[in-house]
Amino acid sequence: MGATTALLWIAIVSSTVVLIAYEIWNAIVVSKDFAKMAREARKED
Amino acid sequence: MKGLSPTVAIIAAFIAIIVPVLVAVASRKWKLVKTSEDYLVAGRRAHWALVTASVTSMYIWGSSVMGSAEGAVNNGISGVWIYPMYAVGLWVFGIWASKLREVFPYALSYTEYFRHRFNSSLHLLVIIFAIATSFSGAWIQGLAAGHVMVGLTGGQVPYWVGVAFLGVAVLIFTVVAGLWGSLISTWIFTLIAMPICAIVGVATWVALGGPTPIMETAQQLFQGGKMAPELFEIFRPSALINYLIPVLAWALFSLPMQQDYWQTAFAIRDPKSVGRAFRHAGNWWFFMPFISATLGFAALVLMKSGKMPDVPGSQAYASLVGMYLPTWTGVLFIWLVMAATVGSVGAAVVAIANIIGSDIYRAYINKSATDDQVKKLVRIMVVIVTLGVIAVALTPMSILMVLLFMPMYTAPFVFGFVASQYWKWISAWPIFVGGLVGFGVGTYMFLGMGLWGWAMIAAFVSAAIITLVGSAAAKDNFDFSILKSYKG
Repeated sequence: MGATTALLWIAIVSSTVVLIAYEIWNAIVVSKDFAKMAREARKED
Repeated sequence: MKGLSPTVAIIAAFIAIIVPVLVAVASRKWKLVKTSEDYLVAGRRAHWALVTASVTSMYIWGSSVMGSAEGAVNNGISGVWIYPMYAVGLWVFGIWASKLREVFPYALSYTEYFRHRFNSSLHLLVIIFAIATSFSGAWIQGLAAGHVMVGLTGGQVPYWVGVAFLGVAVLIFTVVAGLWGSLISTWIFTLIAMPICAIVGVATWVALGGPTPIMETAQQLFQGGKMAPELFEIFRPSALINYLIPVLAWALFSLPMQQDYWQTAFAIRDPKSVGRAFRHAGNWWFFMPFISATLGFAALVLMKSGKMPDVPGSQAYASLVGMYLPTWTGVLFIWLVMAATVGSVGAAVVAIANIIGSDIYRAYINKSATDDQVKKLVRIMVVIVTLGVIAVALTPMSILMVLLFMPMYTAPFVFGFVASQYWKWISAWPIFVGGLVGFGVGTYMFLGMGLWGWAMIAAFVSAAIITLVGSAAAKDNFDFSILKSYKG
């Protein structure tokens, strides 16, 4: 039972950390790329 | 969760539509769509991380959250593995997508490959199956949107309202911006859906007091003989055999024949980053179902101990959330479902319009079509297909049969498609015959024998054997430089 409890904790904590970490990383990388595209679109104008 | 006010539900769904509106405005302002290539494959200018988020969104279905909890309710702790293993499909798809970008760099659709690598007969057969697959996917999402709106409001909001909101949201961003609209909308929805999954799951665990009190109850049930020891095995063989094989079969035999995923692979700016985009999507997805799956185990323990009423596994997660979290949490679920359905349907309607525009109109009907003619046609097709999805989804029915039957269209062609990119001797007619035989075998096993997981495998294996034997008997000698130099 102790091992199962530990596994549940690991699953909950690691999933939450990875989901949030991917979220932050992806938001930053893609936002930067969009900002670059917006700048290029303004230059074309 | 039960009885969310109809006004609140409709306002929440309406707010979700603001995202596609903003995306449509931004795409016009940034002049993202000038040519048909911009519309269909985002001008091959998308950052790979944008595709990662978009693919992750397309993979999040209503069943991902509810079904992952169901796996643990039915199988104990080993059930947590079932849904995360769908990620294998994305990891493997990354390998195949990199290969196709290498051998056919200017493709707009994967179905085009069959026309240039083989012949028009096989091309047209694959087109039929490809459209059926994408339409089925969109249909399922339409049904889910209607069912969720009814479920969350206790039936106070009619079924058709959810379907209508979905259709309007999809039309807004797909008509204006095509794949760009789909990519940006699904990116935003992924950034919304992932925290919701984590927040709702963790908040439910906090309300339960964490895993320790649940496991103390489980210990008492185990000692009292009310919970079998195998329910605590993390690698229970019977669960892994019964569920993981069909899951892996679905992941491996369905994705490679879905234009929804291929168009995102063709959209990536740097061809060398295609594999990376899908690997990260698989990683991101892999961790998503664990939280709801662990809550499925908690629901199992609570039901066995009488602290929670017995409900079917598919309703366990929603019931648990309904018991322990405040009513307004339903708003988050509306956003989660809108995120899942709008992204997937948008990608599917663009995929179908792409196949009709590139593979049928430009290839057979009007070979000298101008770019503007193609762009206009695919926009019209997006509208027609979206209205078609709304029309069929307005009839409420079980989504399970539509979902489970989908791989029957795809599994018989996977081997021929992938193998023919590596081996020049794979020829057309064995794939054609194998595809029809595989479809027949799979359909019989699915409808006649009820073996849905094994039906997929049988469809794949029978088609693969015919493809290999037939090609060995009548070898092709294809020159891959034809594909590399093709530019539409």
